[in-house]
Parts: sequence; C-alpha cells; structure tokens
Amino acid sequence: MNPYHKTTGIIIKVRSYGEANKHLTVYTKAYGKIHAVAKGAKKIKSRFGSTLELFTETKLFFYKQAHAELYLLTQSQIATHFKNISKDVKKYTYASAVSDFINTFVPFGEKSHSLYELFIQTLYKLDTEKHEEKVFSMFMVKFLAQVGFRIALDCCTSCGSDLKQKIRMSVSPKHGGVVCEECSDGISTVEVFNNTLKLMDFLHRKTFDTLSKIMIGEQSHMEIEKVVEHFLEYNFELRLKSLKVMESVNSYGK
Amino acid sequence: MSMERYNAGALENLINELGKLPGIGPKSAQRLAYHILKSSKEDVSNFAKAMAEVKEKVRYCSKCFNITESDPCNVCSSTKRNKNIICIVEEPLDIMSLEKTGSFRGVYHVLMGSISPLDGIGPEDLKIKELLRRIEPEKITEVIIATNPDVEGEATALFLSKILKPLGVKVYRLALGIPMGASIEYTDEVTLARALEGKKEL
Ligand SMILES: [Zn+2]
Ligand SMILES: [Zn+2]
Repeated sequence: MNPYHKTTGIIIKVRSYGEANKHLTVYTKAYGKIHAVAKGAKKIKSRFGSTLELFTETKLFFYKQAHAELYLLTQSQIATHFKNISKDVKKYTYASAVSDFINTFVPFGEKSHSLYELFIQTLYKLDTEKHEEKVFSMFMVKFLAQVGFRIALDCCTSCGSDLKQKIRMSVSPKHGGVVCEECSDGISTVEVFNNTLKLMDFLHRKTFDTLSKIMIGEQSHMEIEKVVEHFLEYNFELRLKSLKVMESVNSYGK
Repeated sequence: MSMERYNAGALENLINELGKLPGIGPKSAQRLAYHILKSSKEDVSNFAKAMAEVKEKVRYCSKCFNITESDPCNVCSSTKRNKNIICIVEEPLDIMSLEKTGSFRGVYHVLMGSISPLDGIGPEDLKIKELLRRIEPEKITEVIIATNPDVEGEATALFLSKILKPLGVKVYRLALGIPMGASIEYTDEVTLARALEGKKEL
C-alpha cells in the first residue's frame, strides 16, 4: 500500500507532543477523523507556520505505514482561514462548540462527505455572519440527523401511532424522536414546545442561507440545545465540555 | 507472593507513574524506569528528594501566581520594578522566558491556562477574578497581554481586553509576526497578515 496520503481537513484539536511537536485531531475529507503528528511544529521557524491552527481548513500531506496508528504530517498548506473566528470571542466559543460535537461524537476513521460539508459550512457561516445562535441551532439539528435522530411530528417514533398535537410534546432520547403519551409513560423524556419541534423540522430541511430570513427566540434556542444534548449524551454516554464554557463566557461579570 | 513477582510489581508501578508525565509514552516510560533501575542508590535518592522538596517548598505567589519559594515572589517584592504595569501570561514558565530577556521592568500575572471550551476551561477556571482584584488597589495603568500566539491565546487576549478596557487600563498585546531569520517568501498568509497588523513606525 502506498504510504503517502493527501487530503484536506479541519483542525479540531491541537496538543503539545514531546518537546517541539504537535499532536493534532483533524476531521478530513478522505479519512474522516484522524490523529496526526507534526514534527517540529512548535519551533519558531517550523515549515508548518500557521497552517495547523485550530479551525483552519488545511491541505495535508501525510506519511503512514499500513499498520501504524499515527499519520505523520510531511507538508501542509492553508485552504481556508476563518479570520473572524480568531478575532471574536463569541465566534470562537461557537466554533469550539461545533468542533466539540465532531471531537466527541464522531468515531475515528469514518468518512462522511455530508458531515464534512456541514462542518465547513457552519464554520464559514460563523465566520461571516452575525447571528451565531441561529447558525449553531441549525448546525445542531443537522448534526442530530447525521447521527440518527428523526424529527417526525405526525407519528410516534416508538409505536408508530398518530400523534395528538399538543402545546408541549415529549421527546425520547432512547427512541430518537417524539413519542406519544402512552409510550412516554415510565421512560425519561424531554418536554418541549410543539413549535420548537416544528422549527427543528424546518431547520433540518432548509439551508444556511434561509437563516437571514427567519427569527428564532431565545426559548427555542435553549430547547433545541436541550433536545440535542439529551439525545447525544443518552445515546453516546459522552458529555460535551464546551456548552458550559460558552455560557460562562457570554455571562461573565454580568 | 514470591520475591520476583514483588519486584516486577514495583517496576511496573514506576512505569505507570512515569507514564503520567506530559509527553511520555509507554515506551519512554519503560526506558526511563529501566534507567532509574540501573542508576546508583545515591542518584535515585537525590532524585526522589528533589521531587519531594519541590512539592514541599515551592508554591504559587499569592499575588501573581508565579512559582516561588517565598510569598510574595521575588518580582512582586522587588523595589526596582514598576508595579503599575502588569504583563499577563498563561503559565509560570512564561515568566522565566520573559525575565531572561531583561527587557520588562513591570510585574506579572499568571492566568494558569487559556480559555479553551474544547477542554472545558472557561474564564472562571483561570485567575481572572484575581487579576481584576489587583487593578484598583495596585493602581494598574497598563497591561501587556502575553498569552500564546495560538487561537486559544488570542481569544483569551480579546476576552481580557474587553473586560479591562472599561476599567481605564491601557491594554497592549505582545507583537506577533514573522520570526527573525525566516523569509517572507516562505511565510504563510496568516502569519504575514498578523505581521502587517502589528507593523510599527521606524
Ligand atoms: Zn407511541
Ligand atoms: Zn508574585
């Protein structure tokens, strides 16, 4: 097998490794999420320069023996640099949260064209648009669909019977969708407004460009986050670290 | 339990402990443990003593969080420093590097990290409250933010400048740019853009 690889990827985590090396987590187009090492990348005159900074989309050239675990980076080139994300604390925390979803819930080595597109588009929108909350809510809904959550409002995800439309509806993380009154008995559910679910369904079907035309209230953002967080944490048994930090950055000193 | 098994346990124990050190993988931990095993008894006990002593004697300065054996630290208690200027760094080791330059005559404040949502580290986990508490009583007029030139360091600098400026403090950021000895031709566009932003009059 050819040990040389070439792909494009987004840097989602950077660690120091040894004296002068960087250990990276990268979400790539061709290989999904991978770990890579850039030797000497911490040195001032490293050939990698700014190409391995967090949230940068970078063209990567690797060396990897068939049975080796690590990809060894030989060369890199900036594909897209999101300059506002590193100049705005709010954009930075949202970009971190988006990367946290990929870092926490996406398995290594599984490539997905649609997830890559979602990730890069979200970063692009966070970088260029003012309404970070809306971009983040749309990202969460679309990410949820990627990992198997169904937003069906007409029938119960558990038994398939018709759903009675009420103001508040029950979402079951276990079943991955809305459940009827009978099925919600005795299981842990998240209660949200019917309108929030309709909004989630809308965000799921539309593109980021429609966001400029709609308004989303604070309550809906919070409920979307609640549904998404419960679903992911229940099904993956893993927790996101970034959401709490995002809140404390936004509310610091208030 | 036989003597042999007991010894193997002790060595394994040491390998485990060494493996907890930053940048040390299982292979390196094995190599170091074997090295310690071969060293003289005296060397090993000096090593163990040094480790125990560092934990006993060295602490953080209650004012600036520099590492020190006396509290407040040498910098904070010096009469030759300008106490109205604070240089903000991420880690105590950054102070050592800055002190080596001999170019800074103010005092320091260590944050103990940077804002990093991916690691669950927010402003409350850093020594920011402690920094804000110094501004008025110490009549701080100027701060120089010397966090690392990476995305986390930049975001932390922006966050700090946002909360420090309303307090009437002049906020500076350490200049970022092209390293000495590098060539413009081979410098990537992001590094170049930063160098342009930080340009100065000659
Ligand atoms: Zn049902
Ligand atoms: Zn001190």
